[in-house]
Amino acid sequence: MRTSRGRGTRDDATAWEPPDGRGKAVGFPDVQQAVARLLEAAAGPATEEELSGGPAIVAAFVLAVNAAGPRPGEQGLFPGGRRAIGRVPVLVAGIAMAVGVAIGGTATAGALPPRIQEIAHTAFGAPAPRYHGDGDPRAAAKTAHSATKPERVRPGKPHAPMPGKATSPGKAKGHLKTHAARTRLKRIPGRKDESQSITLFAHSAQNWLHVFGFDSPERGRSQPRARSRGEMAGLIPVAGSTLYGWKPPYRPARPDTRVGPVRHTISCPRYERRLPTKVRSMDSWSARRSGH
Amino acid sequence: MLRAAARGDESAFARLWRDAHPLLLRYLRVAAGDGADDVASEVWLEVAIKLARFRGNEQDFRAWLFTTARRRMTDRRRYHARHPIVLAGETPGLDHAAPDDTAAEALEDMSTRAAVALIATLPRDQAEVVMLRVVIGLDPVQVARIVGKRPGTVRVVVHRALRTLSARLATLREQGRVPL
Repeated sequence: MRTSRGRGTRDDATAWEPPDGRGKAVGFPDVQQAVARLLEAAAGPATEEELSGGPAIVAAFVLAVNAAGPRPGEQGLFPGGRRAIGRVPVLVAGIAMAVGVAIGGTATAGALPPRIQEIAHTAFGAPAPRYHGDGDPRAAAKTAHSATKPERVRPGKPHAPMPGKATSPGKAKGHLKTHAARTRLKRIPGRKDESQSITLFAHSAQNWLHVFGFDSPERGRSQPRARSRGEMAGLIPVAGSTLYGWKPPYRPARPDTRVGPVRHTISCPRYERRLPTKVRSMDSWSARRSGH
Repeated sequence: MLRAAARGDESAFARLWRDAHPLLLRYLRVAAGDGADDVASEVWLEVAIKLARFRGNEQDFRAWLFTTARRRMTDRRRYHARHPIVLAGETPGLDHAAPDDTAAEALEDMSTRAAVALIATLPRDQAEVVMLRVVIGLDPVQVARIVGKRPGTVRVVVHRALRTLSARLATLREQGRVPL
């Protein structure tokens, strides 16, 4: 039914406006006054029967309060109440994340103290610590000599980069001093003859010196296989670093060849010698190499 | 009072309950019928548990209370639709003893009970909206949110319901059985 509010009369259209249910219908028709009284009665005061279950509900409320633990305002440690308590894990997580990002960024930049940088380097592959002014002059001279010495290439033998080319002598010495743990090497899969060439993956180029990465003789070329930053050809891990991957330049005959740790030696076709599994220091490695 | 109750003040909660429970019970008697007391108990238990997390003023609390009541009522209705109760055999437990009804109590109780009973004769959606909008005093937007309608629809439903009530009251008057 359309209301006739625009007519300005007190008809039922305005009479049915219920502002709060308790309005006085003075001046309205009797029926409308009766409705107003009806609504007023429906909103009347509570009766005894309606309020009979109060103690049980209040007891349930007390139980619920006790079960829920301390309420807001009762917290001495967190005066802000439960909402503040709820924010604590978020706050702790935020602080932890900020600290983590700060340490991670510093570690990535290599600016942490050497010991901590070393831990970060071991834990998640941050750059190894840099040591300034602690390089061994003898090793530095040896490496520099090998780097500047004209390389002797045997006819028919593939060419490989010499040790010390990729890393500065002082830097390499620093790494050798830092990493005292043993180096774990992986077995070369497939053939074990000298034509097998390998490419080792390192998680940090700073841990490596030149040794590995020889092309297969049947390819007739001698080029180091350095495809990316993590795939360093012609490198040897310094003492303490860990080889965690390898990849032959050609697919092995049996792709399911198991890769296991090498017990003693691995083949090195370029130098026709056996490399020690444990590279204790650059000196020991150089001595073996020069002895050969 | 609401904040004190939210903090766990027992007396504040008791006052809150005394203020709101009669209207809640009347609303449920209109909308839920016989199960009004059970639904009201469930509603207050839920309120007791969740009150600490409630944020708002008294009006918001009322809206929240009746929203909760309507949800529990809907749950109960669905449950009974799936699990109908079939009474069989003798049911002596249903013969409740009359409460302590003195004449004064009966007279006092008469008007409210009769008014609620008369509102309950309306179609359920109309009775529900009249109770929420007129008797309890929620604004149309809150009522619309509770019953899932638009505020304009709520106004129209209230209008029709009051017209129906008026017609029924007129009929009762003509029959000489006006309860008020």
